[in-house]
Amino acid sequence: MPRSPADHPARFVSVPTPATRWWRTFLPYQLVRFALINVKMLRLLRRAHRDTPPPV
Amino acid sequence: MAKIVILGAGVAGHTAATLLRRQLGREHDVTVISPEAEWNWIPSNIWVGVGVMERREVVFPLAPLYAQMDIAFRPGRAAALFPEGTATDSRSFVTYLPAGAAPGADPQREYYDFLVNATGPKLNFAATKGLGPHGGHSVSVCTADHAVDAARAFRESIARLRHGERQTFVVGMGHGTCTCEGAAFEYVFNVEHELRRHGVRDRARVLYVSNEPELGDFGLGGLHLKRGGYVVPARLFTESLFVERGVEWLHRAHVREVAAGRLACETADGREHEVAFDFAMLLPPFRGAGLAVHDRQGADISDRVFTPGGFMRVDADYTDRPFEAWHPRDWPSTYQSPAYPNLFAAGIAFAPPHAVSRPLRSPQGTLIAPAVPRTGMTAGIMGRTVALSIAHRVRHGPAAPLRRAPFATMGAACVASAGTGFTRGSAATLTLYPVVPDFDRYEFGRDLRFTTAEIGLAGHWLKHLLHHLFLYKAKCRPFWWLIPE
Repeated sequence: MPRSPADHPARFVSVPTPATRWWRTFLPYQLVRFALINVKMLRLLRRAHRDTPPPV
Repeated sequence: MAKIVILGAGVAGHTAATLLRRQLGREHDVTVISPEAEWNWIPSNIWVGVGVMERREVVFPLAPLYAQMDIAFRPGRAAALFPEGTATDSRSFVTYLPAGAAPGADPQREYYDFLVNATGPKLNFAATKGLGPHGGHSVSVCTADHAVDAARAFRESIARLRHGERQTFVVGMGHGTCTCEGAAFEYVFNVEHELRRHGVRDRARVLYVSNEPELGDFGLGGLHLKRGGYVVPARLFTESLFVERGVEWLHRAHVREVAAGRLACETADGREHEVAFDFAMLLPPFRGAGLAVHDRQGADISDRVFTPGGFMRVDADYTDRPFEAWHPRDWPSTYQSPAYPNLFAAGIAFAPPHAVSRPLRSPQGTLIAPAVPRTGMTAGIMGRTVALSIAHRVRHGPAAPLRRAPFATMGAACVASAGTGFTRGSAATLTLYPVVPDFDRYEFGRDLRFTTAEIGLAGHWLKHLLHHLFLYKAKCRPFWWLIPE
C-alpha cells in the first residue's frame, strides 16, 4: 500500500484489512450485496414517498 | 388547449417534458427549447473521460424522440422571458436564438401558459484564470465532448508513463464555490483504477483538490453512518479509500489560477500552494443560465425572478441569515416562482436558499463553500414534481394544488464509481435521507436507518445497470414511466 508523507493527515486514517478488501470482490458475497443494495434503495424510495407532504 | 414550454433538455427538463406529454392529451402543446441537440447521461461521462466508454454510449439525439413523442423541439438558446407579455400583447412568451442563426439574427418567440426553467448550469470556467478546455489548461467531464477531450489527454499521459516518464494527475474542483464533488471523486478513482490496469501506477502521482471542508462532505454537510456499534462520519471511510488507493488530497482549497503544467491554490488556513501537473481535470463552478426578464413595459425585472448568480428564485426562504440559523423548511417544495405562478424551475436552475456545508473563508477573505448538488436523482424528482403540478393545473384550473418535493423529505441514492470491470470494478453506494439534514428530527441530521454507504463490486454492477436503465427511460422505451427517478 502506498505511504503518505509523514506530515500528511493520511497517517491518522483507518484502512481496510485484507479480509475487508477480499470481501469487496468476492463474487457470491457481492451478489448478495447487490440484492441488498437494491432493497435498501427501494426502502429509501418508499420512505421518501411516505414523507412527501400533501399538495398545496 | 394549454401550451407548456420547457427550457433545457437535461435530466430535469427531459423528465418534465416526457411526463407532461404522457400526462396531457395531444390537444395540449409541450415544447422544449434546448441548445443541446442530444440528451447526455452525464453520470457516465466519467467513463468516457478515461476512455472505457464511447461518446455514442452516453448520448442520443433528441429530435427523433421528440418527433415520435409529439413534443415540439426548438433547438436554440433561451434569451429572455416576458412573463407579462408586452404593452400590445398580454400573452407570456420566451425569446430564444435558434441554433445556427446568424449573429445578430432576431430572436424567435415561443408563447406559453406554463414555463419550466430547467436550463441547467452555465459552466463558469471564466471564474478561475486558465481553467477549462476552451483556451485553458485543464480538461473537464461536464459534457460528453469535454469527456472525449479528457480521454485523449489521459491516453497521452498513459503513453508517456509507458515510456518511463513520471506524471502527476490532478483531479478536483477548479474553484472554491464549485458543486458536484461526487463527479470529481468518481473521476479521480477511475483515473487511478485505469493507471493500475495499464500497469503504470507506480510512476504516477494522483492528487485530489477539493473545496470540501472534509473529504466525504460532497456539498451535503457530510453524513453519519452506523458501523460496528458506533455512529461515525463518512469522512472516515472516504479518507480510508484515498489512503488505500494512494490518492493524495488537498481539501478546503480554492484554485486561483491554472497555467500550463501548474496550478496555484489557497487553502482555508491561509496557506498558498503551487502544484505542478501533467494532466488536470478540474470542474468549474456553476452559474444560472442568466435569462433576462422584462415586464410589460419592457423594463428589466430580472432581479425579481433570478438571483445575481442567475438561478431562479422559487418558493424558498431567501432571507439572509447566518449559516447556523438556517432550517430545512427554508428549502422550496413546489419550485414555483413567487413572482409568476405559471413559472417553475427544476434541477440546477433553481436558487438554493443557503449552503448545507459550512462555508469557510480564508484569511485572505476567499470564500470556500461547496454548493448543494442538485443533479441526478434530485433533478429528476424536481422535474417530475413540476410536471405533475402543471398537468394538474391544466386539468383542474389555476387553483388546483401543487405537488411538493422538499429537499428536507427527499431521499437520494448515489452510486460513485471507483473503477470499472465486471469482476475488478468497484463503486461506493450511498443512500441518504433526507438530502438536507434536519437536526430537529434526527440527532445526526439524517435518519441513520436509511443513510448507508458501502464500497464493492456490487456497486459497480449497480452503476452499470443504472446507466442502461436511465438511458432506456430517457429514450421512452416501453413502460419507461415505471422506472423511478
